[in-house]
Amino acid sequence: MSWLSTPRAVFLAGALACVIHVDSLRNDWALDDHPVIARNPAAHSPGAALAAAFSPYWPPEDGLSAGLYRPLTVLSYGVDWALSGGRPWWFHLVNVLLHGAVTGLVVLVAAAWLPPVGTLVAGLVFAVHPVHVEAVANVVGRAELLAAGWLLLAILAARRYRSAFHGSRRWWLGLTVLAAVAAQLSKEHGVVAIALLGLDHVLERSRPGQAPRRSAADLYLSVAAATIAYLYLWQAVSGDFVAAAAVAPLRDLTTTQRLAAVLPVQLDVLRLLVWPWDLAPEYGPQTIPIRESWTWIAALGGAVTVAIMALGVLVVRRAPAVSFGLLAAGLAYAPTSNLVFVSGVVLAERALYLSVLAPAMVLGWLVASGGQRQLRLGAAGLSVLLVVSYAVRTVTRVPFWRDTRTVVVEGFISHPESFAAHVRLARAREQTGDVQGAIAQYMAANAIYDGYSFVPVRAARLALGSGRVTLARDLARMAAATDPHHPEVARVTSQVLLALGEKDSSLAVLRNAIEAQPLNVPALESYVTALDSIGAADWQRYLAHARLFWRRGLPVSASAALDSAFGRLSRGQFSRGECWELVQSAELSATLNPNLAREIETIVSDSSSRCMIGVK
Amino acid sequence: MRPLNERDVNLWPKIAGLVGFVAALWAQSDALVGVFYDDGIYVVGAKALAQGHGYRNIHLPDPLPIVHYPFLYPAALSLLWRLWPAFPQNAALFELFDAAALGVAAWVVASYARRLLPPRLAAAVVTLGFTAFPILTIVGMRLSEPLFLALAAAAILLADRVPATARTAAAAGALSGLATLARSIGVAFIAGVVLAHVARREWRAAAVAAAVAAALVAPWALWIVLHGTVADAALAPNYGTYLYEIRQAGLSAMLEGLDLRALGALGRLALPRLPEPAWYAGAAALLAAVIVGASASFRDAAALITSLGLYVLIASLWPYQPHRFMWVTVPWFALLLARGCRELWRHGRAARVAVLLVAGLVATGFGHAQVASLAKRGFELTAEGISQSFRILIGAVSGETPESAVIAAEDEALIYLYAGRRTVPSYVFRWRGRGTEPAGADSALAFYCRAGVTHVALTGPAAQTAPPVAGLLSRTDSPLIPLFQVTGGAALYRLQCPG
Repeated sequence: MSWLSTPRAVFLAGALACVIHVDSLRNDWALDDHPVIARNPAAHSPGAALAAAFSPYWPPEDGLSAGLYRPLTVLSYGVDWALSGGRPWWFHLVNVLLHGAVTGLVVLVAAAWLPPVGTLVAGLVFAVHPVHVEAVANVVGRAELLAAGWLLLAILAARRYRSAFHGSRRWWLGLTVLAAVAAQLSKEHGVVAIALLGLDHVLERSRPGQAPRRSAADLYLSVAAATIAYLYLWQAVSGDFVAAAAVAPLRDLTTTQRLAAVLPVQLDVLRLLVWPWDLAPEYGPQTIPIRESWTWIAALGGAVTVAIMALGVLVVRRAPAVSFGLLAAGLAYAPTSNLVFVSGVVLAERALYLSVLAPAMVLGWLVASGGQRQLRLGAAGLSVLLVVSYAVRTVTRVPFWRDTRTVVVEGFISHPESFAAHVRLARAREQTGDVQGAIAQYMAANAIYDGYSFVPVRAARLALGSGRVTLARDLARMAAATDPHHPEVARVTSQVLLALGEKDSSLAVLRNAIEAQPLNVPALESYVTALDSIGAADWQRYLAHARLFWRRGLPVSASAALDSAFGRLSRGQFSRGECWELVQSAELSATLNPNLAREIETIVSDSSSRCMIGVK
Repeated sequence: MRPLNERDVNLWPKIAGLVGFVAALWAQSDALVGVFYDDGIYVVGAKALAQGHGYRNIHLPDPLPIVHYPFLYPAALSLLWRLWPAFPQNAALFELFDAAALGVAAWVVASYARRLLPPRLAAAVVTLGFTAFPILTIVGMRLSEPLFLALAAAAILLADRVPATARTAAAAGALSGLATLARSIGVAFIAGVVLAHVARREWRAAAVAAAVAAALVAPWALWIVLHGTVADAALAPNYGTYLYEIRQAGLSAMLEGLDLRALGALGRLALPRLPEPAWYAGAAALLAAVIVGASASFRDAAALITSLGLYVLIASLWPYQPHRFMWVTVPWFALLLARGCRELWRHGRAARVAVLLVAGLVATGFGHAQVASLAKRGFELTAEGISQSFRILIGAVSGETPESAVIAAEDEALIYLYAGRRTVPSYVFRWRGRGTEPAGADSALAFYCRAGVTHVALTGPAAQTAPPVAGLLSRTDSPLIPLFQVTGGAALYRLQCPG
């Protein structure tokens, strides 16, 4: 194939990548596109995006931080919006073109080790791989496309840096650092840039005709400094990295339990990279069953993972393209693998975007490697078969992301075992006013996976709102079984009990929640509301208000409330709940009103007040 | 150990820089901006510049021009403020800036240190110096020292480059001028740069460096001359020029500092607690080692030695506690100490014993404090402690006083930044000798009423403001109405001026 050159391979693969996804131009917004783009003012102009450059990725109006920080991605939305007036087809067009560009970069990266025919195969596999559909056909997948593009560009720039001489070295160094930072500002997993650059550097020796290795210490120190600065900024903007949004099934597990749960997932990753016929918009429970104890599947998942990584290391000299593909795929997937820390997803197709380098490079190498003609022909046949199969699956998958309704309905039909599918359906029914249907779907979701308390809480609220108090109580109990001290659980349970006329129980639930989490302001707010609504004694309400004011950072109001409580508190016999109130208020009284503190101390130590029973 | 090639020689300073940067980020605490007073004023200045108010104390009811604090650091922060105008969230950018400045300073000092010590040792000493707990304390606040260190270090690096050219001299002069615009005491580095050229008989370079530095500093001097008069004597000690302080403190107070007492601050950092005679003996040995190091280095490091000498002199003469001024010199003095010990090591057994003695003292003194501070993040404890009381006050002022309120508070810039109310200093004082003398309750009340104060905030009974407040509270017709008081802690009062 003497006509085939690297630029032609770049063009062919890039063009196919665009053509195969062109149907996505008919797609509308779907799922996260709505809050992140359509309803997000920051994504509606470049100026607004720049003004929100130090805001979390998820708009605060949606109440989700998710610990994500992607200002460059939001800026790209802002530019798109300004150019298109917010028409989805334009956003999809940019995604398609970006996928084409990233595919071209894959070819260029592969060209270091593979002849043009090999790079073409690698590019074609990358272009048509069905796992990419989510990232390309759903607009919010832009983050993956941008991050991958910048990472590959950083690798190419670093190569030029290492081979350049004095004058231009500085420019290539700057471009490498810029691309690495841009990758990080596009998506958080850009932090692997330094590792990818190191991997490519190590493999440089295996490149035909490569000059002896030159120092790249400046490059690594610069990228390291930029990465550290980015991590610092990310934490400052979003709070605590992704910890707040860590996926619930894995969040509270020990390391051993987590590994037992996520090692089997590695087999799903392998399946998705090799034979991605069965795709899903979400891989939480029970699309992927979560097992907290060790099973043979976990052992197999671990063994396969280690074997693939070991293969990547072992073939560094013999097949550097394969080595790069496997190890780069591992590095790109590592941040969301949950192997080292808990991320925001159990598994997501979009998170495998760059990991498709593994099958792409392996097939490219198989076709291009020397060896027997029959072997090469076999590899070529396999490649053709896979590329055609992948292309067919990709074309048929693109319409899945047509709009939210399609994703919800099709997702439910294809994966009825999915917890998330039921929750989405429940929300859709809620929006159409079908309360009963929504409650049923929430209950079905809870039956599939009972680790999220928001599901029964939401259902309990709906049941309470529609007058089905007994059902609401059962749902509140389900929520309490999941997360007894969550303020929302305590709040809805308290409301249900109040509706049932069980005032003391209602307050007791909130008191338990406050005791479990003394700094929890929402629980205290609910408690104050409950006290007000049941007409509790003035001194009791003042004390509760004082604690709430103090927690809200309003010491003057807290002090005034304590003064009011002091004026209304008289000695006598106290109920268990009243004693709890006094004991809870003792510390704040000692801080702001020593006279009241002394009075409380006298009461709780006086046997006739009956409070001694209530004091721990 | 294999010999270093040029690539490695250049690598070590960069590693020192990266370590300095990372250590500076690690040292950032949750303490409030403004707990060290100066940091609050710097950030107020940055906000004023970013919002187009000019370089003014916009927290004061009458926003006086800032003449006490040079503008370079606030100007740099103001650019970041424009990028991210949400305070206190944008403090993260300031922290990154300070950390980057410290990293650059460590890189430059380590590059320079190669002329005094072998590359690996130079990088190790500089890294240790830049991760010393006093430096971490400073870089954890929003203070101008990291920027000053980077500029001054670069000025020295260029000034000691031989042979000097007009370009290097101009750059050294410019950097020392900028260092002076970051911290006024940077004049020591202007003088040091010029004197180093003079010492090498590089007359033209000296003139160029002096002219460039003067050209940079002159507009700032003019600003001070034009805006330096503060009409209200109660505000002048904090908001007037340095000349005002000198005039009030008196020349004799400054001359007391001729004993170079600022060096004592470094001695207390370096040495363990010992009985007085032993401590002075140790301090003498330490000083001797530093002097040996300085003498041995003078030919290669004239600008450094001269600048540091003048810096110590100014810090000693100035009627302030010299500690914070001296903390930033730790990396440089560490270099001179290491060089001195290395020189002495070559001079026989007795000298080696002395070196081991000095090393042992530093290891048990500074080393012990360093390990303890790093292990427990002791370098942030003071700032965290002060922040506790202010957090309560901020909530009260921002949530429970009207927007038109004027608050008298210690660290008044802090209250303004977080609570958004106009503020004035609650501690009214005048300089007397090398200390301050508080005004009485009547003078404080008169100032508060003059300034339109509506509330007085107090961080606790140990605060400098506590005596006059207690005096006012004890009156039968007290003008202060308690709004809340934390037992043994912060309090807020409403002020009703007589008449």
